[in-house]
Amino acid sequence: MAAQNRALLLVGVIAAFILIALALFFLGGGSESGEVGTQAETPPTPQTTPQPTAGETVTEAITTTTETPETRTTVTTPEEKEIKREPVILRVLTRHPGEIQRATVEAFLQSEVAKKYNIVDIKFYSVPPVAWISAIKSRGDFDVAWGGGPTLFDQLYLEGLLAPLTSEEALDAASQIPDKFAGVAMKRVGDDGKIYWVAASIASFGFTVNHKVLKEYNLPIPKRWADLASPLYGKPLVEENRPIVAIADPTKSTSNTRMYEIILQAYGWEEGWKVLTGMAANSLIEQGSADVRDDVIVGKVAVGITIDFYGYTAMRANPDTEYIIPEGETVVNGDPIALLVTSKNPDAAQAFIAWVLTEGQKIWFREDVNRLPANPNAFNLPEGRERQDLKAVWESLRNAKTLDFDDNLALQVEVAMQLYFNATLVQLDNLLKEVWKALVSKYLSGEISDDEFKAYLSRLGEPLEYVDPVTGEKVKFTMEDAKRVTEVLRENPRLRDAYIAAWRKAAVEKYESLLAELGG
Amino acid sequence: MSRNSLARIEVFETSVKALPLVFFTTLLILPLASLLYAPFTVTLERGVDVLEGLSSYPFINRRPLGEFIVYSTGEPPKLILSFKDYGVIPNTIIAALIVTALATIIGTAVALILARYTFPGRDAMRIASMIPLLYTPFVNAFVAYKLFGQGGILAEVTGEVLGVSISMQGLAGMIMAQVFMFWPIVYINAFASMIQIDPSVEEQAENLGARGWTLYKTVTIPLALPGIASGAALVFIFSMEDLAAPLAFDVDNVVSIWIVREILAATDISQVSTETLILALMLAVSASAWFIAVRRYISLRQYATAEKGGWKGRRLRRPSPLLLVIIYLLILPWIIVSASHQIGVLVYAFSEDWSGLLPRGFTLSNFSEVLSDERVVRSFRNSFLYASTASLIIALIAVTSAYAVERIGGRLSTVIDVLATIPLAMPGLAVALGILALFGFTVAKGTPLDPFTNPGLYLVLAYAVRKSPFTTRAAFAGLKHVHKSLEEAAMSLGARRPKVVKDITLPLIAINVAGGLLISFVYSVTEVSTSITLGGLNEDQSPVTYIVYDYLTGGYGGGMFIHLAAAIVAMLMALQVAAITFVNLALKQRYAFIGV
Repeated sequence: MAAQNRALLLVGVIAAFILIALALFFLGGGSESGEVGTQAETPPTPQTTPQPTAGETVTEAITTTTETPETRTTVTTPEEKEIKREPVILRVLTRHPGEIQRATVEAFLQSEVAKKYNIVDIKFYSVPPVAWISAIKSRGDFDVAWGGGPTLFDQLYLEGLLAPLTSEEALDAASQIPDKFAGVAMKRVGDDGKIYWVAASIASFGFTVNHKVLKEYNLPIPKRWADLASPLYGKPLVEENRPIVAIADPTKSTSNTRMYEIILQAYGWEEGWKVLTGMAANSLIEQGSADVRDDVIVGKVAVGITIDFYGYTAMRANPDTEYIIPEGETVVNGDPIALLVTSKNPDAAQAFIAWVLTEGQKIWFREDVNRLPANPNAFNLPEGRERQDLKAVWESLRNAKTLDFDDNLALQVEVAMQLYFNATLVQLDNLLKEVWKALVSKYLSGEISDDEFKAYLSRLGEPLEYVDPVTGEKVKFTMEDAKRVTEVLRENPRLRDAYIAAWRKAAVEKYESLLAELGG
Repeated sequence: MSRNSLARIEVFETSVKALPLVFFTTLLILPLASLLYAPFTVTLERGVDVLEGLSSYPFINRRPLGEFIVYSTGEPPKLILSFKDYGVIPNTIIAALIVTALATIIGTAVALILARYTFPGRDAMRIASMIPLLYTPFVNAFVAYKLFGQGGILAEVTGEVLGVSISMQGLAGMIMAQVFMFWPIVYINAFASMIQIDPSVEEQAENLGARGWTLYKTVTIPLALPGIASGAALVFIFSMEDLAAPLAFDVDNVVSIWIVREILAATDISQVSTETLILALMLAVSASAWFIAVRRYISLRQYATAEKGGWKGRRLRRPSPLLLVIIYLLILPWIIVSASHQIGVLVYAFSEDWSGLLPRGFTLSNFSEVLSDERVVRSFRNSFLYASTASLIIALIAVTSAYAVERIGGRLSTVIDVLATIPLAMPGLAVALGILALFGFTVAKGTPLDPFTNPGLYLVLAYAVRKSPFTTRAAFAGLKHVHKSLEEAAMSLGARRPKVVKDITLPLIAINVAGGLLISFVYSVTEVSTSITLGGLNEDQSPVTYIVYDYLTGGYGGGMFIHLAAAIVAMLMALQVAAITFVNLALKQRYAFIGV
């Protein structure tokens, strides 16, 4: 009896696991295995060779890249004389939301290009940015990366994970995208002169404001980035412990990273950090850019720094909100698409990239997407002609007085800038606010003058002197130093924590001494 | 017994132990190790420097920052309940202690009243007490601000009525939201314990003259302690691990949020920071220590009863007028207020606009719009399938781990005990990224088990790991209440262990397990961390929480996106209610009410 029961139990357990596994494989019908199945059952085109599946992936593929022509294992079925391309499934790593993914799959699969290259499906993988590099390196079968902002793509570029565009049609499509738009590079050109990523859409950066909340606190509409560091916006913080501005942590938001880079270039390194410090002190620091947008929509804050299409979403969600482009300080951003070195089908992948840069630009015109195309010719598409509103925004951005942004420089200091910001302004958020509240309340009550306030802000925001964890020497976080640290961390990422700890320690000392001085 | 049957017993006991051990090692320990290995080595390199960093701002603040209560003059004046910031580590402990204390007092009081008194509206209150358990992922943050934030409904109403506008922010808001969310956990555990108390014990006490509060204080509550204590222990861990309430009130300085932030701040998952490692270990150690301490304490006492079932309202009485007033003026409003998040989600889901004080435009179009999105429908099917499958696995794991620890004992049982507990305290994001790093990038790559192909499989397993402790705790509590003598009697009559388990033990703890499974199911359906990390790998297999997240971040539907997300979450609530009702009906024959 006991033996029987035991056996039954065991069989039951195994059966349950098998059932689960089976249930999952057939679930949704869209799984990998499902597709191979459908393909085999309904053969519109005769196929004799098995389709490449995920099973055939090889890690060494990272090195075998561009030269290999498309895997056309010349299927010579008797009835076919021509070269028949194998069906291809493209694997695209993306940060774009599901709506854009679906619209793309729908439109692309009907296109001539898809037919020509026999691309039967596009698989989108929404992987958190923190896992992109690991995913690309160890999977070895992603073809294209699309969406996520230039800072993310530059990281991939520096890791050697992006392959240059080589096919004629991709290069032709890329040539339709201006090299620069409003002073910002729309392509990443490597030292070898080849193109590693191209912008597929354009975004501007600015403020989304909630007029109702601004009015409630009698606050002016911000016009420049530096306005957000003004003690005026610190008043609700002092009185009600309520931050009235929202920003996002640069280690989690590529769009906010770009805005901080803009500020550091618009005002210069030293001044820029003072602006960033005052702004962070005034702000609710969120974990993502969408949270910033939502804070403005619900009226938790009066101002949020956002990318333009978030501003447009906000305006539709709450008519009290408005997207504002900072005067003379706006920078646009090209949101890239790129070929990955791990692509097994570089020809087909480049054909897809070419399509996104040309015909596929119509995706941006959809009402629920609302983005600016990178290709000016897109406005000649039927869908584009109907979006004169976007055209107007596009024109105004192109003609706007914009900043001459050096994205090479931004890239050189990027990692250090993000981590320094995180260590001194995000992690020590409450301590910084304590100093700021003491300072602003003295200013608002007239205890200290305008000049004295500026002197304090200057001390508070001035880049820190810290003890370098590697050399043990005391150094100042200048732009040169940021370049050096970025380089050091690229060589040895394991030092990251040590630098964060060093910066945090120096910041704690400064904040505490200022707090003591202000009698807070 | 013959040598043969001894060997059989050994095989049985070994497999009972092996199952949870293998399960948790593969799906919890290895993934976490693969994620935390790098920070571990960095910690070794950096040595004491790491501790130095953790002993200062922002982890332990030398002086607390901010104020408990902020008062601002104005028209009307504002009273803002905030909290001092003592640093990431003390904040977490202080908040967890406060939440546990309040949830325990409230949960026990409500359980006592509902388990011992009968009055009009009692059944409605018992059902309503379950509402705060319904998870409302993501949208609850909007609701929390709308209800309790500055410029929210509470502030407006108190400003009008009292002349002082009251609002909640920071840790104070988080503590309040957690008490709302978690008191029912103590309540259902205490309730279940109270109705399982051998009625003869209370009757004896009454015969000796104990009445009212004396009876409860000296007999009922002490006898219900296993339930109350395990409920309280759950709440303590929950409070430390929770992300929903701190996110809703913009609290950054608590351990759970800090871990998630640190993980996401890394440039790559191979470079997660040392602080993540240490804080995660801290959560794991404190969770297991707390649980084991609670159980040791309970084990010192004898709670089991030789009588099971048969409770049919035998000990219900009518409350005194004073108690009735307390019930209607204190308990009832409390139950309603603690369900305010769920109510708020419904308001968003059924309205066209809620930017002002009151919602405008009742509508069903939010529902019809999201239902016309095939992804939403599919994701519901997926989530339901994942959670039910996970529940099956959980039933197996929970019963085996509880039995191994409670009845078999011996070496490894403490290990199983710890393993079965720590999923509660482990940040889901760490588990999810660990699974991705371990299976997605290496072991299963290119096979049908690849999470990039079949993320659903891993969602099932992750749910099973992360949500199993609810059922395991319930099974423990059940075993605690079943006197060993019942099993021993069967054994002395010649029944072998597997047969005893099948015929005696399992039927006796079935209700506990079913109640635990209900909670596991509900929390699986609403699981967030793993779902949003793995759910985007193959949209066909996305769970519903991923779709809600996608709606919110993508801003679909333009201005209506919050309302659309709320509509999905409202349907998610309906699914949870359906599950609760189903279990309730299924157990009706045995038990008037589902308790854990």
